[in-house]
Amino acid sequence: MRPHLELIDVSKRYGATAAVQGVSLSVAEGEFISLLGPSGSGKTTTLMMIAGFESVSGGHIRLGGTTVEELPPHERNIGMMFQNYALFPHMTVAQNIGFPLKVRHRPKSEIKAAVDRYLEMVGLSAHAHKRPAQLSGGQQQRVALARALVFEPRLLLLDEPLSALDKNLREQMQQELRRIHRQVGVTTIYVTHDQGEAMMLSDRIAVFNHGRIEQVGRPDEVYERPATRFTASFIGDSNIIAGRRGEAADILLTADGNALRCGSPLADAQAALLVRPEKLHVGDAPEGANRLSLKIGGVVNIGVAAMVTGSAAGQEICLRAPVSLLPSLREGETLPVWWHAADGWPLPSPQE
Amino acid sequence: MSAALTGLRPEAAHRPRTRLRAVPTWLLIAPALLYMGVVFLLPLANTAWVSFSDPMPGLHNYIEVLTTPAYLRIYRNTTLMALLVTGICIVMAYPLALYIARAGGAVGAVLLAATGLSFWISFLVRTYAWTVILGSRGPVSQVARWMGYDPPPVLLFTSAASIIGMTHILLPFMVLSIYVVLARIDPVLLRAASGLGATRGQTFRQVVLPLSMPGIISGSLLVFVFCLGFYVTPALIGSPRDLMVASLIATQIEDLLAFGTASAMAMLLLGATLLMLAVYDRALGLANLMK
Ligand SMILES: Nc1ncnc2c1ncn2[C@@H]1O[C@H](COP(=O)(O)OP(=O)(O)O)[C@@H](O)[C@H]1O
Ligand SMILES: [Mg+2]
Repeated sequence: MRPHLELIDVSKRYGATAAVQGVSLSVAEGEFISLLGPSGSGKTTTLMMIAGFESVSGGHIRLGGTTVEELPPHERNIGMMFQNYALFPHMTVAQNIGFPLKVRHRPKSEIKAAVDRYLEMVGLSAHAHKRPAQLSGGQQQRVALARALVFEPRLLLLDEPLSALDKNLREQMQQELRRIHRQVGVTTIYVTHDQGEAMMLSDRIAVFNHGRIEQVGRPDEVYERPATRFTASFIGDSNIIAGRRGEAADILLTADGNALRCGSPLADAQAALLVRPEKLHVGDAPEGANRLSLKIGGVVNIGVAAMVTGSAAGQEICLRAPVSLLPSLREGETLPVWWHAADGWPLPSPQE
Repeated sequence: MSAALTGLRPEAAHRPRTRLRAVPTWLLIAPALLYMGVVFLLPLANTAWVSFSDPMPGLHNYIEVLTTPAYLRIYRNTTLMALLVTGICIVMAYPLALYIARAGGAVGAVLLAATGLSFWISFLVRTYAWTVILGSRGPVSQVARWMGYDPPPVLLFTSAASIIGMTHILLPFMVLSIYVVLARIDPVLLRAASGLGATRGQTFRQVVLPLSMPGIISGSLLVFVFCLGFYVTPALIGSPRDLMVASLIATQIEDLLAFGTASAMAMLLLGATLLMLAVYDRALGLANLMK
């Protein structure tokens, strides 16, 4: 099946700055995909090029099989929710939601029915005749969402929609976004710098760094099998142990002489392995496991576990130890840690 | 904020008092009040008094003004002229204000300064400039002659000249009133409209124009009220036959010494102006004008 949205080698330069460099991405119909990356990595610029508010400096954007990069925004039929909602202050909630249909010259009765339906979907039926200024931030956001969906766009674009909300409201809105996405089924591109949010909401995640996509994959893929050191460290907590490849391709030799076995062969001579904190165990290692002795730097009780940080094999290491071990965890002492070889994921040599 | 509300807020109650706050407010505004009272309210009260009492007590001055067809015609003429000037100002000012607001940056600043600059040139000077421009040897007549109109149409000392002159003097008020409102419109709203499917025309009609309405209305109010009482420009370059109210009042005083009639005319003009302000207040709230 053809992808619904295709970015083909898209770039954007502002003078000497390359905001986006050769981004390619295929999105299937109905998919929820997140653009995840640190601030300044080119996510918003990518979104703006898809919406048509920024021109592309190179490459192509295809939507539903046709090239759209020459079309003005109002001809692209893409719903976008802006970070500060951008509701029209002189219109009521109902008029705001009806706006996209009104400018498409739909009959009044149809507009009213659609507005009512979407008001109901976002739970604002009681507020139809209020002005945006009379609503709370969360409610304004729902209006913006309803307005972006009411004309059944080919694509829904969301740029860090939840970053302005407090934690409770944010989690509530995440649930709601999932529900609405399931209900409407619109192909959604979601920009965020919050990896937890991306993991929770997305079918797939595109990891952005310095204007490029480092990796595209399902949340579990980018978490468990990151393609680059950047992805490994940006998503979730990570222990990255650098070294060089041994005689056997799945052995990493660290500078201080440890030989660590990976779950699969290392690709580069200068390599590293990733092991997630929750895969590290404390105590005597079983046969065939990797082991290190950790010099404890700090211990924090977070309730469900003790967060232990320290150094081993010349690297910063963190892990979660059972709370029952707390009395025996003291700063400056050494702690035997181990992990199954299969839980060590090989990483390539650092780029640049 | 009401006293009761501030009383509930501890940080407001404990705010350190500056020395200025020790002086009672009424004392601070007393000079301004005194000045306004002496130069504005007293003469106004006097005018009102004269309108009801000169040459004898009663409503006869008002009855005279409101029943003399020649006077009523002048009131109507004045209103029509004011409406026309207001309309022309809106049409001319809006695109300019829109352009300044869109341009922003250095271009916008220069245009804005140029608009404001005209406030510093006495409008007497600007009115006299029109006597040259519109005069029988002025550039307009020359062009008309060159285009084959000989003798060229008479422009000076007509209502058209009044309208041109008043429009010229009042246009900056309209431009600035509209500009201020346009500049406050968040550009993201225009992007949003376009993203939601609105063409440029639809965005203008359904978003920009309604949001700039307060500027159009306050600018119109300013221009209209100014026009109603405009004296110098119509008197210097306007038609001596189609008088405006202010000139009529001057004639009553200077030529006829009819102080009572003139006062009644002035009070009626003031009444009309206050009515306009009341309508505006109902529509938008006068407080918005101060923002
Ligand atoms: N209008 C612009 N002019 C110049 N540089 C820009 C502009 N917009 C974005 N940039 C630059 O492009 C890069 C990517 O920005 P952006 O797409 O906003 O990143 P993100 O949304 O991932 O935080 C940044 O370095 C930013 O400074
Ligand atoms: Mg951004």
